[in-house]
Amino acid sequence: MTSSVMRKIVERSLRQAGINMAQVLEAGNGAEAIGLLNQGKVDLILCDINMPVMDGLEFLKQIAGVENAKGIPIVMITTEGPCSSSFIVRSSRLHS
Amino acid sequence: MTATNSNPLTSKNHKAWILVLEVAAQEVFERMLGSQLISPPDSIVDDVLDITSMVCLAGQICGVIALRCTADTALLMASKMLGVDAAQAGPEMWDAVGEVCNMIAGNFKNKIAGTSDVCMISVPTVITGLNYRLHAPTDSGKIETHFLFEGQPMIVSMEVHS
Repeated sequence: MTSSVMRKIVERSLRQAGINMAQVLEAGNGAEAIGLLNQGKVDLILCDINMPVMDGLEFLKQIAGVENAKGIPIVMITTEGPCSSSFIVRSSRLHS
Repeated sequence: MTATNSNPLTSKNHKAWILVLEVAAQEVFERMLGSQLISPPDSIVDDVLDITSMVCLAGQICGVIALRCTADTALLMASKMLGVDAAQAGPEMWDAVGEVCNMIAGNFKNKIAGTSDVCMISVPTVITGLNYRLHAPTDSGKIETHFLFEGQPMIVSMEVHS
């Protein structure tokens, strides 16, 4: 997610919803996120679509080859849909 | 509220699109900042609005959506979005004002029926200062709507290319 403000808002919203997060890793684009995933595993990925360097859709393609991302749920958060909604995919299914 | 996509921006759909732009902006401020935008009693004097945030549209609709405000207003946006005092929000004000414009553009695009999948938006760009002119490849006129956000002036505008 490019905007640091939006990353903070999402993190705050999740904590307010009672989701216990030990650590939150932040990336400003898909390439940075893949760099983080290559260093270790995470439990959940929240991703924007409209980002510089590597956008969210390219990130979804690239992540299929990242071992640490296999089976990790990905929530796409975007205004790019007809309902301004988020949708969920699982990286393990991206190969198809 | 939705409107039919009848690009280009002409006098026929001018009124419809300006209403959509107004609603798109109002919804973003209500949902993300918890603030109501109100129409100013008089036109806003724009020579004090020294922050310009821009998002470009490409695809079926090509153009630029811009949000203009003062630095104090941008700071207030960041403060409201983050739920912190204005003094703490300073480093985030550019990001916040860019993201607000980005959300208005995304919301506007989704309200123009049929453009959701055939119109893309850029990441936002923020300009500071007053001494500049914007030369966008647009040819269908400009629509502009004025607001007061927590009493502070703000203009949201759109120019499109047919």
